[in-house]
Amino acid sequence: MLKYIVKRILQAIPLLLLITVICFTLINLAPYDAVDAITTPNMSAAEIEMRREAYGLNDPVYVQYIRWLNNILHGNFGYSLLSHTSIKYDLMIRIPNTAILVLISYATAYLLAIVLGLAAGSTKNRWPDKIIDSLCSIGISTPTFWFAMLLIYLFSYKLKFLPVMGMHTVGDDSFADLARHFVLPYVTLVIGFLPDLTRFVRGSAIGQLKEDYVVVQQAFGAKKAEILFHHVVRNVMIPLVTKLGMALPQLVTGAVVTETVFTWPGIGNYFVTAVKGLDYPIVMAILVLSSTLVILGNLLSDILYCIVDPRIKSMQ
Amino acid sequence: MNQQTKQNKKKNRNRRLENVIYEFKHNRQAMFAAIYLTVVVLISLLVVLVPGLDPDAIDVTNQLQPPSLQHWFGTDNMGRDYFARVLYGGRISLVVGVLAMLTCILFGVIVGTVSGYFGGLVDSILMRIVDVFQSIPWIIMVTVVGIIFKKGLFSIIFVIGLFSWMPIARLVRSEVLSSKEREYVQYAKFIGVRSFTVMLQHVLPSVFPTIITAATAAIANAIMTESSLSFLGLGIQQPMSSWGSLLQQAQQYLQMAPYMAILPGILIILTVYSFNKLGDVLRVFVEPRVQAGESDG
Repeated sequence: MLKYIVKRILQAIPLLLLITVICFTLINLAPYDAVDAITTPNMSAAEIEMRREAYGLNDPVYVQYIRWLNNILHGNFGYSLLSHTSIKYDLMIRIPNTAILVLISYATAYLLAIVLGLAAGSTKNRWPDKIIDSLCSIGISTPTFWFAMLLIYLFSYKLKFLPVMGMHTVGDDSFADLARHFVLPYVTLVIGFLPDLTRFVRGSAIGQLKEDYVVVQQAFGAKKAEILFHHVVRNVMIPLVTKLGMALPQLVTGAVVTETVFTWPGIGNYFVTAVKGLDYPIVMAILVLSSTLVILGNLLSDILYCIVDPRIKSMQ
Repeated sequence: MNQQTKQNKKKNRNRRLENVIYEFKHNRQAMFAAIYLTVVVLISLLVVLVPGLDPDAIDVTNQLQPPSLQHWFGTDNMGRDYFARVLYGGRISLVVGVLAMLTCILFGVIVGTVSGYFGGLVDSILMRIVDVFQSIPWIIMVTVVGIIFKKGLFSIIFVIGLFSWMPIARLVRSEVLSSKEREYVQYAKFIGVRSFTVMLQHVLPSVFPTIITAATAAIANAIMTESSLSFLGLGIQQPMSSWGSLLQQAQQYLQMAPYMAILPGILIILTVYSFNKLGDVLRVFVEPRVQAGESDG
């Protein structure tokens, strides 16, 4: 198993390098001059040229790439074009905000999906399955921002019950206030994650219920619930665990739309604002960050799979 | 040849089609999807012919009017008839959906066929490219590339197409891998038919049903992507509007005019739902395994 894991990690490294090359190419394709981030409008042309030389912007492209990569590895993402603040610092404030929202929502959706997916899978083509499956079809077709708008209209405008935007009321840092701001984005995200996960569990449960071991258990006279909770659940969990790894990048990019609707001060909101303001260094920093997380997530999911599925272990 | 055998021959040829028709007749959701999509497409095509329905006619005296007999869906913040705006918005959404689907099918089929047919080094390189493209979250990638291109209808279509072809390429590749082992393909290769001709005339036709089902799902995805992008203000720009950009405006007036948000949203849901359903039904006839009910995902 260790050999397999090492092999997978070695495979991921060239992919990561390739991704950084692509990101760097995109940065250079983007219609902006990197020197703008370190100059002020009232500098003379000679001064700007001096800065350009000092920061190595006249060096060959591959030298710049290696320097950039080195900076990224040290967590140095450069500075915003608009506010001139350090992107690293901005990210450190915003990532926890997104992470907490996505983490709790995903965990809720994950648990709900297991329950609903098993319920649907074990009653295939009867009414509980039909209801759950239809709701999933509708859920998959519903834009999350539209659902969020319905929630805002109902709970914030009509019932005047929950706040519309942000994370805190100004000057109120209490937990109760945070919780009130948390509810709507949370519900939106849970509903956003749920249909896909439920269908996944349902499909996998249907597949497992056809396996020989289920027939054997039935022949031995095991009860339906017993088969479902002792045997089927375990096997359904195997592919589901890999979904956890693949969800890793969601911690950064999973809530772009939802955060924008509720102006939640997370990465998604930061990203969309940066895109609209053509703040390239921020956009590129998030591009590098999120694609790295995808590769790490895939790696993690392979390793998890290897750990939970004994069949893979014995193969090595 | 008498009439009877002629008819029989015709029947045999259309067995697949007949199966699809049977499924539509016996699956109420699929029936609904087919009828709904026909109606929406017809309306989108014919709406320009309706006199007096102008989505851009500004009437400042009638701002944010709720639905009435005169304005069926009410009016927006500039007094424009919302009914007309929603219908014209649907045109843009569908055009983006269909053209983006064609773009991504084109990329997917070319990469998938070449990769599966030639195998070896070409296959490895192309599949690594697919890996890389797939590992960047679409919402990030689409916006980044969107910045580099000039904003406009066709750049959105291109960008959506450019970042959704990877699953189709994988699908087509695996189909090609099995179909290139068939005897007629082997024979064509053996007698020295050019690779391009073999791919086009012998390999692709057997992959065609898969492409059709992937295409319907691709339209649904493209419409969803476009609406999210437009909602974030990164997609369709004024004065053009799609269902997504109508919703973006609606958010600003949500408190005063909730009806502005309801309608485009429901239309997006119904359209995406219908295309997905259509894809499901068509899939039954592409993958016999699904028909037997073995793989329901």
